Amino acid sequence: MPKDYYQVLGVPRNATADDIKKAYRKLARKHHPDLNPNNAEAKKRFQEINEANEVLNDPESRKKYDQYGDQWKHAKQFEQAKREQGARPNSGGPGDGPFGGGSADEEDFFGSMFGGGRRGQVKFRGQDYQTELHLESAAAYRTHKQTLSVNGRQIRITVPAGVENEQSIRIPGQGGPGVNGGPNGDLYITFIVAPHPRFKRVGKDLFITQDLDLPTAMLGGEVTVETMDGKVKLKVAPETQNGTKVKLKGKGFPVYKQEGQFGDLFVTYNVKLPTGLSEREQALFRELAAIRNTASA
Amino acid sequence: MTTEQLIAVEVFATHQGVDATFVQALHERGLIRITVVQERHYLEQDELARIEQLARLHYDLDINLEGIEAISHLLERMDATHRDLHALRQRLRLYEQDEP
Repeated sequence: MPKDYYQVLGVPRNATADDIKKAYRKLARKHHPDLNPNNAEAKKRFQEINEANEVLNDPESRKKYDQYGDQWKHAKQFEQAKREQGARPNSGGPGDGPFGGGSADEEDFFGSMFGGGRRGQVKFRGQDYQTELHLESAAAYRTHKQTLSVNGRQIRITVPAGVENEQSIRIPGQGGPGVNGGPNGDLYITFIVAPHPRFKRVGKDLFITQDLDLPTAMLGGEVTVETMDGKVKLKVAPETQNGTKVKLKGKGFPVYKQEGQFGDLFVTYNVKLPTGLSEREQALFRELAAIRNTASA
Repeated sequence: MTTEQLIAVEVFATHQGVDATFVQALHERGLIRITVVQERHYLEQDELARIEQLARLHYDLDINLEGIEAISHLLERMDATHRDLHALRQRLRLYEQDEP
């Protein structure tokens, strides 16, 4: 249901032009997107305020709005219909007029948002567009190009390696067209990076848990660890404890927009205790326990 | 920095419909950078969005320069807090994934 513009601005219907201007400024200062970054609710509210102000601060539009309410944009057609009604007494009234489709006025109207023009010029910046780009972790690991379809236009962008989940970038001038010579709006792209099935990522660093069998943990040896760009062999020190962390420098995620720089990969060892012991293994463990008890006695 | 990455202050002012003195005042308050090349004043391209934002606050919302200065600092702090919050959320997600 369309909102009442007077209610949107919080002014009575007999408010003066000055009252309207003051009310608009007060509300715009509260809800302007520049003062409420990343706040979709404020942006929506600001659009409503701007829309109401556009109509009520112009005496001619206001007069039409007072007369025809939310159908004010079709005032011309209403008046024409009235004239025709004079000639054809049974034709329909304003509520059922043949007013399908958006007029040029309407397009101008909805195109205007994000503040008015400078010093009385009716010149508006185009609408900002928002879109999401979903990426797998492996795609976010490398710089690559992607083509997006935004409002019917194909936009080719370079996705820099290292973008983070929920990170936004701004592409100036790729939003909605400006009105009356105003600049185009901007396009904001938010990257949604899916979690990697093996690695956990915190910024530029990666974390992985690597299982170790008991003999390797006790006696030392080698283990093969997966990284984002292949597998590496690690030496395991004898008597490695469960939960031991090893840092692989430069094997993490690329640092955003810093070519050649990478975070680190942290490997946590998880010592797997054997299950389903055979009789011989049990006997050997008992022997080992006896040796340990003798040594500690 | 090459001059291709710079926009002359008066060109920006004409294009945006703002006073060049307004841009100068922002610079004097330390809110933007101005590069001087052969006595001509230039803005860096990557600062234009910020200057446009400050111009909107001034011309569209009627906020004076002192107000813009205060708001600018608060927005920077908000942005830093937002980034911290994002990093903490990512870290929290790491621990939540560990839970069975």
